[in-house]
Amino acid sequence: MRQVFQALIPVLLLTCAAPIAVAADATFFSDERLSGFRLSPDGNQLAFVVDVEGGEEVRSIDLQTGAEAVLFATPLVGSENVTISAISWIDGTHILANVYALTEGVARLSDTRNRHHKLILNTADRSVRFIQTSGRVISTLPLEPDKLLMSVMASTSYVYKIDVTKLTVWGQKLKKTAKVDGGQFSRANRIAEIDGFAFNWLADGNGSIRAVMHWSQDEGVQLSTRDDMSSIWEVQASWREKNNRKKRSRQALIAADLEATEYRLLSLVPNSSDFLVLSKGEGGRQALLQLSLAKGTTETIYEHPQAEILGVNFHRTSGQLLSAHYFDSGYIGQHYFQEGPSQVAQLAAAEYPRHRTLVVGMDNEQQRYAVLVYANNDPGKLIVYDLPNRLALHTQSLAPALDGLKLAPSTSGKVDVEGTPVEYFLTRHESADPMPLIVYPHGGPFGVVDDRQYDPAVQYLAAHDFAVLQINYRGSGGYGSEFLEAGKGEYGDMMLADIEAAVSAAITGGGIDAERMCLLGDSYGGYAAIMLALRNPERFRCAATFAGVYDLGLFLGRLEDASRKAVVELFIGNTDEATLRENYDRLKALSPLYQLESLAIPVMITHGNDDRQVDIEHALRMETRLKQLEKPFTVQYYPDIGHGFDSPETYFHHMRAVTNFITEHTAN
Amino acid sequence: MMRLAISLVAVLQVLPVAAENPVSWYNDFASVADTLKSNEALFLLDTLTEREGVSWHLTDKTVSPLKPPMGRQLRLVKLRVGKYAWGSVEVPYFDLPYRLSLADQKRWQFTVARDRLNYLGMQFVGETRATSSIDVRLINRTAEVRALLLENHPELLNRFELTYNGYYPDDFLRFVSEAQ
Repeated sequence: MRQVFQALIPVLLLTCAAPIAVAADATFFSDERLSGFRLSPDGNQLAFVVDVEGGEEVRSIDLQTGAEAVLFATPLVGSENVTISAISWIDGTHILANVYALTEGVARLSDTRNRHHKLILNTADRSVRFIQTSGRVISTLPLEPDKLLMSVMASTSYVYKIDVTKLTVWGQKLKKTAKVDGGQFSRANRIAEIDGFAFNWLADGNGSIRAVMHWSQDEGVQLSTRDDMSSIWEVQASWREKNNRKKRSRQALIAADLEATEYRLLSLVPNSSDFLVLSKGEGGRQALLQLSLAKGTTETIYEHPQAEILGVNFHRTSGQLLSAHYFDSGYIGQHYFQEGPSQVAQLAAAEYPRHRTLVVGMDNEQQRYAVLVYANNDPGKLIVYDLPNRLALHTQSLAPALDGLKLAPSTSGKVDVEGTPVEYFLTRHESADPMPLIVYPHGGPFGVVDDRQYDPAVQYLAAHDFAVLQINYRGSGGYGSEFLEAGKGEYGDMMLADIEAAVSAAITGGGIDAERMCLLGDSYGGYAAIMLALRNPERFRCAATFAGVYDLGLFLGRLEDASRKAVVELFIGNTDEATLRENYDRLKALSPLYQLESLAIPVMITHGNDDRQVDIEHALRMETRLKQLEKPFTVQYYPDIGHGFDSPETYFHHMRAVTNFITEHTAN
Repeated sequence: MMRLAISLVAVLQVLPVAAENPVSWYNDFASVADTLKSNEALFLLDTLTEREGVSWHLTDKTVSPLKPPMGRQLRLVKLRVGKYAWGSVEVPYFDLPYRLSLADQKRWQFTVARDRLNYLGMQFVGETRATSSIDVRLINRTAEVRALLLENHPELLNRFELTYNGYYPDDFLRFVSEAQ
């Protein structure tokens, strides 16, 4: 009997140990996140959005009692494909929630529609009301509780003042005599109107609409202003694209005219007729400027020495400029214009010296502040501070499921590639020994960027003792228009050179075993992985890809005829003089599919059957050629998977297979 | 409030591509080529149809509209050698006809060449639709079709070279063939 028991011990240990390890690994891919934090105007409640099983919820926490309440759950408006895009406080009781619900018209009697629901959540009685009329909420009128301003865009556009308590309760059947939205979209509630499609109305601190950007087919985009509610609109500036405007859709004309506008209008400067705008500053980057139409001048309010300004925050009641934010070395950075947010940021930084801080909200009195603190190895926390008492009132984890995991820190570096500075991030746990490296370029490629916030794949690989290198090669977003432009025509050339230079720089930095390196990438990253393997036959040991692009000519096949030229130019540069065949040959020369003879390492190809961006034919062609050439490879097709993994379970399954593959090929 | 840890074992069945949309072979692939006239060649019509009542119309009105069944189907169509274009596709909505013109898109043009098995791509009509739009796509699936034919009708590939004959160039089949 004892012998039997002893023999069972290792079996029991094995059967227990394996699931525990798997559970910890799977946790990296948990999609439970808290986001969209908003502090109520009185500072007593914190609202936020939570991903939960089967959808999302808006919740609130009473900061005095700690009581948590679910105010809205997405199943209320649809069973799937429902997302809460943003929430904001209207007053001390009401929250505006923007909810999108994609309803696929699969049956003969239904249409495919993406419905936008504007819901009003009452934190006191927990009722949910909604705005049925199509339009956009442009201001929540902080000085008038229960009220908001909403614009309706058409060939003549209007702004209405709406009382949210008069809206219909969600799910309540409307009586025959009742009017939609309480009949509030009427002339009596109209506070502004203008001819043309108005897309940006600006109100002053009193809720008076004083400026508007609007568009008409004949005039293009115009900026009109007025002194007060009773005066007529005066056109102050206009922008119109000069190319041939015939035979183009309204959407195309609006997009072209918007492209021609010089400013992104943010607000009216309090007690002035000037505007705060985002536009190109003296350094050529997007900066925060004060625009005076009367004087015809602009004055720089804030320009970051390296980064473009992405947006700004204003105080809810005073309209004071509080902060400007920008992309900085993989993080969102913030510049503060007022003492309050600056002081609270310092308070948080003192408590979390290795974290980044972001002030994301405050009460009307500027006593209580909501602050995000996060680091490259911490998904982060939301802390509500009482500034006068220098006290943290409430702390909330942004990703509770990840709290117990030990995450790897990252470092950033820059390398100069023929005059272009390229930033990279290296993530790894501390190790006395040199680590194998996984080079993991991002997809896109244009406008997409890797940052240093939590990335499940990167942290999972780091947990398996790999160093992971991410590179923001030219063409990536977040580094300004010049850097974005630098990527054009470099799809298969300098973008790859940037990655190679970053690999060399990372190796020079130390701690990397340069004899044990593999490539990993999704979409464009998959393209880059195979191309880098071909360009550097001695450098890497293996390459794993998901949804990779392997045949650039084939990639164009999904595009309408009209889109092809622009995409070809994006890939290979100016194509004006070239014939269709010449362009195809250039694309072919940049396609890894047609160069696989020189592939010297094993590859793992993974693709989703339902990928509409990069069709599975790319992987099938690779499989055909790799078989024909008798190259070592594995291939895996996932049913019902598109261009990304939409379930944590499938993502984990894929990354576990990738990790096993790379581990096998980087073994000593 | 918190979601429990993700299920421990993610069981995924990894299927070969065709298994998701089993292919039906419309006509007798072994013998249809025997009935070709001297001025005819074979066009391999590849359709994936997710709605009832779909019909494809060539601009050449002498060819009857092709009405594929639901699901994936490969069909051999005998056409006179020459240039063709898909002019429109009809996807009825309720009891109303709904016709999408394809005539202004060059990618729906193709050539039927003598002694070739001519191919343009998988003509897809999706299940989802709206009142004024339908999901119609042309998806180049030469590698998949080649593999399917090799497995099911190798004799046809021995007799005719599978050729992508769309408006935009695609060298894949020729490249694979020359490499063999």
